[in-house]
Formats: sequence, structure tokens, C-alpha cells
Amino acid sequence: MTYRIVDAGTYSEPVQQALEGVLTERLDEGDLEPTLRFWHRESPAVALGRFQAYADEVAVDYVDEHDVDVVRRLTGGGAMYVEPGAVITYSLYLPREAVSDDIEASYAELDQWAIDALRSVGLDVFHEPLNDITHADGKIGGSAQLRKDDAVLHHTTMSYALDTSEMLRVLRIGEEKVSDKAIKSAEKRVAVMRDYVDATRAEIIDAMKETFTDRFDAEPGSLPDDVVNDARTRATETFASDEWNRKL
Amino acid sequence: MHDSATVKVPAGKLVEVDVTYDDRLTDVRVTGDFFLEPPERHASLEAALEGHPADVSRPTLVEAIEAVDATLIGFDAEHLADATLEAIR
Repeated sequence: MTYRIVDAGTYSEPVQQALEGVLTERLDEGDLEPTLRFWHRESPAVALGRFQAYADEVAVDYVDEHDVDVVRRLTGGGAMYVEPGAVITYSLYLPREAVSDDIEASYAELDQWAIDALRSVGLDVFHEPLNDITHADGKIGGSAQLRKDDAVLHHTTMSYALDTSEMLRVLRIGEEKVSDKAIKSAEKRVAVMRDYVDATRAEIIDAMKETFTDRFDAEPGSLPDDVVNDARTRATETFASDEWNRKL
Repeated sequence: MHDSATVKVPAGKLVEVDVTYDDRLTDVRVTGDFFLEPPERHASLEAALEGHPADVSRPTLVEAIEAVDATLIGFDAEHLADATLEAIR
């Protein structure tokens, strides 16, 4: 099994989330090689977990005024605030048989190469069940999965140099009226990689590609044009629509 | 009446239940940062909580939730039942 590593293309948040669906379906149908994709964003955004209530998670007036895209993902999990150049997101599109049926174990397994890559640049991070990558000082990132009959999507977003005070303005964990769940998550501080290493974001991504290639059979690749075109269509129809993003 | 309650699963996820009820539970909404496979069963999960009398027992709710053909990840049927009961009591 040879993975394609895709590290090109800058897309809006709706197109990014639409790509996740298109690529996972293509793999499920046998029309895509197993793939590792690194994301590059166009603008600040919130990736909302599939089952989260829009108004519970984002400061609605603030995101409207500041044109922050809030896009509901296909995967469960929690809201992530993202900024171009300040986060590292990767997606793995894997054949189902390459992934443990034990969901809890699969999160740890599928993040391990990334954790090892971060360690190779001097970041002391570890997996924290169920789906977090953590530094002793706080959470670096989180993963989420989607499973099809023959394909698994595993994507992870980590903070490289996130503006955490802006994050607290965008997400409702920054507000006083929040429920105790949000206070609990705010208490669990977000840690950003750049506080601990001099490596640039590009250098960290290079280290990740190196570790991945050492461990798995992988070579550079790109996304087919028709995949990107399908994602653009789906972004317009669904992932940029209030009907999808505000349905809960 | 309309109420909601939240359960934070220890070392797990957060589940919020929003419910309209009088004699019976109607319009149940389940939100949170949990995982569910397949995600399309979210509506079935909500439907499984609807229609019960407002004095429904915990075992009845747990059984109704477990009857949904879905894998709950980061929470289980008991957590969802507890959030539902807390919302209506």
C-alpha cells in the first residue's frame, strides 16, 4: 500500500470540509490511493463538530462582524478555531482494513507517527485519550474520524502559533455566561507549539512527512482536478450553507 | 415545557439534551462534542428519546438508546439517559 502525500492547495474552510467528504467517498469506492493530506487555509475559521450546536460554540455576533467562517465538519468532536499559518491540520484517508476496529485504539495508533514527528523536532507531546495530542502545559490538538464501509478518515488539527486570545473571542469558551462544560474546556489550556520550539510551521510539516515516509510506503502526489471541482460544488451546496452549518 | 441539561462524561465528551415535554417528551435535540458512527444515526438517536411519558424510567430510556444501531463514542447510553432525565426533572 503506497500513500500519496498531498501538501499543496489553499482552500476556503467550506471547500476544505467538502474535500474530506469527497476524498473519503472516493477511497471508499476504490477510486483513490490511500492519502495523507496537509491543509492550507485561506482565512480564519471555526471547524465545528458535526453534533455541536452553533450558538453554543461560537460568539455569533463576533464571527458575523469579523467574517469568520464557521463550518460544520462531517466528523464529531469539538470546535476548533483555525488561522492560516497558525495551525497544522492533516488528514489520513485509509482503507478500513488498515485501521483497528477498536475506535479508541485507532485514535492512538493513527496519531502516533505525528506525535513521533513532533518529538523529533523537540516537542514533548503525547496522546491523551480519546482524541487529543497534549503537551504537559495543555492541549496541542485533537483528532476526529469518519468511517465508511471500506474507508476511514482520520483528521487532526494542532496549534502551531494560534492566537489564543482571539480564539477566546471567537469561541464561546471566552464568555462568562457559558455552561460549566465550556469553563472546564477553557480551564484546560491550549498549548501552542511555537512556545516550545524554534522550528517553523513548514519545518514541522517537513519533519512529519519525513517520519511518515520512514514508517509507511509513501510518495508525493496531488489531488485530481475533478476531486477539487466536486468539493467546490459540494462546498457551495452544503458546507457554505446556513442550512448545514446552523442546523443544530 | 422546554428544558435542557448537560452531562460531561469523566475523561470523555459532553452531551447536551434539549427537550420539549408535557405528558410526553417531544422535540428532543442531542448536541455536543461526542462521536457517533455512523453519524447519520444522530436523528435516530433523538427519535429514540421522543414519545416517552415524562415519568419514563432510566432503564427504559437506556434500552431505547441502545436499540439504535449506532456506536456511541466518548459517551454511552447511560450518560444520554441521565442528561435527558435531568432536563425533565
